[in-house]
Amino acid sequence: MNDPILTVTDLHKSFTLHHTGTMIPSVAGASFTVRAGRLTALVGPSGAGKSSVLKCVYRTYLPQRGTIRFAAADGAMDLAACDEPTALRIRARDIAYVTQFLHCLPRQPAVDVVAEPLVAIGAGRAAARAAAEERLRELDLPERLWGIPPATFSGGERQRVNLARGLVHRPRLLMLDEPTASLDRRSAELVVAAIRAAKADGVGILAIFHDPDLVAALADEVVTLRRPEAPCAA
Amino acid sequence: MSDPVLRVRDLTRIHGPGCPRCRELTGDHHGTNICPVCGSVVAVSGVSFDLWPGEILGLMGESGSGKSSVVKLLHLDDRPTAGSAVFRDRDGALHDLATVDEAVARRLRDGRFGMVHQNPHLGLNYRVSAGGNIAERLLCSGERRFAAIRERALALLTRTEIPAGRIDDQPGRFSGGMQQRLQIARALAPQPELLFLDEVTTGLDLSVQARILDLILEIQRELGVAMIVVTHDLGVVRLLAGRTLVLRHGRVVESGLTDQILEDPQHAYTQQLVMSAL
Amino acid sequence: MTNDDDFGFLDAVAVREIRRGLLKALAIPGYQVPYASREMPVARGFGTGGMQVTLAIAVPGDQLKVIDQGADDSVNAVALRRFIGNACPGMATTTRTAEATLIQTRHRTPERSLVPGQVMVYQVPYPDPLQIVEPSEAERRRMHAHGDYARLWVKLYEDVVRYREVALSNRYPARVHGRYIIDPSPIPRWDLPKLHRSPVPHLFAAGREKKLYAVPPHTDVVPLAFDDVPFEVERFAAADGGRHRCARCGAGDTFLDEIPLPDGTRRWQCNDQDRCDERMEAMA
Repeated sequence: MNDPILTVTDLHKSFTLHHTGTMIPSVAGASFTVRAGRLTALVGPSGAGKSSVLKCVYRTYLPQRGTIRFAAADGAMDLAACDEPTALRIRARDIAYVTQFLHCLPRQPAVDVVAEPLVAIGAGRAAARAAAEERLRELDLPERLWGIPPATFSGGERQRVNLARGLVHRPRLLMLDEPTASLDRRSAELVVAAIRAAKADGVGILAIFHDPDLVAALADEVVTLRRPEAPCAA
Repeated sequence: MSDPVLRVRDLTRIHGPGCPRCRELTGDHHGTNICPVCGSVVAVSGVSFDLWPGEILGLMGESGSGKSSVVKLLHLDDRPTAGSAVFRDRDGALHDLATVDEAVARRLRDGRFGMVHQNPHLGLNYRVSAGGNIAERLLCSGERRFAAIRERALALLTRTEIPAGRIDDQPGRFSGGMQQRLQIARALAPQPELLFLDEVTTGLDLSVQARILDLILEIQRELGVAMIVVTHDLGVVRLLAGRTLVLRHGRVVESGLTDQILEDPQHAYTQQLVMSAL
Repeated sequence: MTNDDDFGFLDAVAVREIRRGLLKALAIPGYQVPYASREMPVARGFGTGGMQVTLAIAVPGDQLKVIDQGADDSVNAVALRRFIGNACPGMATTTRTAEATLIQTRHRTPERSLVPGQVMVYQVPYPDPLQIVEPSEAERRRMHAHGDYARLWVKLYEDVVRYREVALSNRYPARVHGRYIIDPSPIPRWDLPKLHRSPVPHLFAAGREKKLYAVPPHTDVVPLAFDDVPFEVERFAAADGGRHRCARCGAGDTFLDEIPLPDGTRRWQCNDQDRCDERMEAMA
């Protein structure tokens, strides 16, 4: 039941800026595990590379060293080393990444924004929409907003759309980067409830919270990252 | 995993007499694509990539980087000096675009490829109506029933958000955005397997751009057609392309997942490109 | 070579070149063969192509008929007949389709069925059907070579959209032998079906444009048309729903001319004068 789905070992990430000739370390040797149905929280001071770890797992950043073993639906693989089409496939099907920002097409109504990940993996539009509506109802987004593009929504409403979108295709791994930052209390409560529900549903979660109380309330494992050394010449 | 729609290997196009040193003396390290020995222009050199079914691939670079030259070679508007580009059609047949004869080239362009140009004057016939522009593509692929042509043209106009009532208007009377959407409708007419989009939103108002980008993504979702999107606009690749190749002086300097290219660029040139855009 | 200096106006080299061109045109039905159009004693554009073909293939013993706008007695037809007659000693001229072995024509194919042994020669102003959609000749040659006729079809599409039918009264494009599309130049739609599997060769020549092309005997000539918008010939529909008939011979199965009368009414009459005369004689 609570098998590890993500095992990160000795992850190192730094950025080399060619025009200034500097090397900026970001992640210095992170190692941790995320299990199905459990939440692993990344904690540490600002600049410890918490978000960078998430981006390395998502393959937005290319790590210099370390392995990212992920148990995908069709077998285990190293996300730090797999080819790009595989990374795209894993992203589309198995991993959801929810940040404080919602990226979507300007004209898309909220319900289609949420349905999008399902459509992308080949679900029919009607079925995808039905699933999206269910998620939006769980997150208590007023039904009158479903047909409107989220650009005009409040921060709390937008974040609920964002989380609904992350959960709609029931990923194996959900990554959350400060999902409740700058939310009103009610929205934050709804988001927390949704995270609990996802855990109960067997989704493995890797999260960064700005609020230590949330870590205490939700985390099954806590991983402390240390700040790497200062930037140096490349 | 299924086979790639397009397998490009070492694609090279040299304009001019060419000499044995053209390729080694040009490129990123030399800061030029003009051969100092013979003066030839190395427009494309050693470009290799795979395009997977249903994928949108971005080709990014500044003007003169060779991105449009690559598309010309793949759309059979030009022939490479060296290299291969093997297109696998829906029926599983393989065609090396570097060597196909003119008759096959025409069949591929007419029936299996679609092209949307930056300048609608290159992609549309302004002497015939919007419907006639779509009809031409259908007639090219052998449709001979007037009612069927009419019906398909109307469906494509509706799909590209052009009012059906304008089917018999000349495209010259359309707005810029509508002309671009008509080009897309025309390109889609024969249900192509591979679509090339060359700077399709450049020069349009932001709201018009957004509408066209939306449309392209919707079409990709609906039809699963593989696309190659050429642009110098980072926002366009971010929105459309899963993977991106960065070209400079006719070479691929970096390739990767689009968000990786934009957020963690490895190559000095890409870093500079990304920083100057943000 | 049967030609010598006192027969057929053209020099032997010209005759040989035109005959070779015609052989090629017959061998590749519908293909436009370039040739060096010679100077004729009339200006280019006045039927010099047809004259050259007639002069190049005529032999003593031929019976020549010349049609202009369907008539044998128009100034052009009379002048041409007289010139060719003078240039070809031993060749007779006639106005009778039935008697003719060589028929040079502008605008019409005779109504009377042609029989083996006869040859049709057309004076063509515009040899290329693609001219209405493409101004560049180099590009048109490429299009013919590739069988790239989509833009011609688009013209048909636009016509059907605008007029509910294809708005070409003459020069209606037709595909020959399943390959090349020809401009059967000045003949009306009415005459186009007569070319289909005709027992005689139809030779087309454009003097100004320097092109020869041909429909060999027993060859398919299919007008371009959509599957669901069939090709139709002129109907000559009368107000009462019937068909106009020739006011002279009473024929109801010929191509008619509409002639306005001074009192404001109109009269309909056979365009093919020989066919009309024949019918009158049969009734007399």
